Amino acid sequence: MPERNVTVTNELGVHARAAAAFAQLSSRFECEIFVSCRGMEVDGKSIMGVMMLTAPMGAELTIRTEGEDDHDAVEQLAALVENSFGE
Amino acid sequence: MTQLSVSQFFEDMREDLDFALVAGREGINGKIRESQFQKNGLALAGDLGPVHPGRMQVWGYTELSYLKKLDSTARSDAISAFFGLSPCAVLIVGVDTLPDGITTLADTAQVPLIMTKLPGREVLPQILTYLETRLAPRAHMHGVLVDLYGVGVLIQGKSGIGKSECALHLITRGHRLVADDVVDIHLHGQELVGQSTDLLKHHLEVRGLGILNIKDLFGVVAIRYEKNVEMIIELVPWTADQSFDRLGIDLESKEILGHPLPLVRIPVAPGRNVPTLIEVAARNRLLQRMGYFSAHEFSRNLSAQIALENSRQSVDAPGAEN
Repeated sequence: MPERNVTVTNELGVHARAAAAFAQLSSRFECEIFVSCRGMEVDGKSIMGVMMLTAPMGAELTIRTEGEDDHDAVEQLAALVENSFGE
Repeated sequence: MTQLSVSQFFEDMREDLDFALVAGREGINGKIRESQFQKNGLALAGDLGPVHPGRMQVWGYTELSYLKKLDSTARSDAISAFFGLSPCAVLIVGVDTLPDGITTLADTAQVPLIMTKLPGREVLPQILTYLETRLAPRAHMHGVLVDLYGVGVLIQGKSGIGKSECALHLITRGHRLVADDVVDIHLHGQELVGQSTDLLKHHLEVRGLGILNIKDLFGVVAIRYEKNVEMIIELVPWTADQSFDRLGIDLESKEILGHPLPLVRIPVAPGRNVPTLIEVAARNRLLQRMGYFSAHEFSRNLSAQIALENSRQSVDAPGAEN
């Protein structure tokens, strides 16, 4: 059950588009994906959930995956956050 | 470029406007190319430059009384010079007799002369509307056009994806069918107007039920003759990796006859009630028309919330500026 901490690097934080990018990428994996910030954990495949974290720049996200392709998922999602959600 | 034969024009308007073809039958297959018509007072007095042969030429009381004043040679010269430009047709309104010789000249020049006793003020607005519609840029689109809460929605998608079934479902919920399968769209000013072809009018083909007459089955309230097309909904098969719009912030559009229309792509899969989704898309479109974008509003609130968190964080952080 891989887990990874990443820091939000983009200026606007996890805003709507960023949350959409995260959920879209999550949806491509079979495994379950959870993401948490400041003690609140949500389903990484749910846009509304990810948006609810209201994570600003500098906030720490914890990505936790569970299932068949969980290693792949955690790597790619961490990379997405570190690359400022491709912005 | 769209064009219309004079014979078609004559047949379509003959009953309503009491048309008679008095001469120039040979030229009846000529083409009308422009929706405007021209009055020919000055042309008959010799100023032929501004005459567009592709427009319907109109003579009324003014033109005929001028021609009647001329002696027969001058009249025949004026008319011959005018017919020499090969105008597609001449429509004579508001009179019942013609000066001598005109019909012979028209026969020779093969210029159809259409006459009506009705006055120009009655005839001309009607032919203008008719010609504007007939000569407008036009396209046939594959899909179903439905009126949802006054929003004209063109439902498109591959054959067999369930467009007609969706339309039927929407009709049972009180919405109105405009056209199924082939939607005839023309440009009217800045609006795209969609209607059914004559043959398919009010009919819907549903696999398993066959061809249904919606007007007979559901009554006149379930149909419409025409409707402005305001948005396109494309039904697409659900695929795991295709990324569908999940926010609704970026509006897609698709052009019809050079005019962009908002496009909403809806993935079809078991358990998704597509008619409901289409209905809500139309409601959302109504909101957008009034300048309210739910997704934008939501996104703004979220960004404000994040900014708030951000300022809190910097206050809490040790060593932050005070």
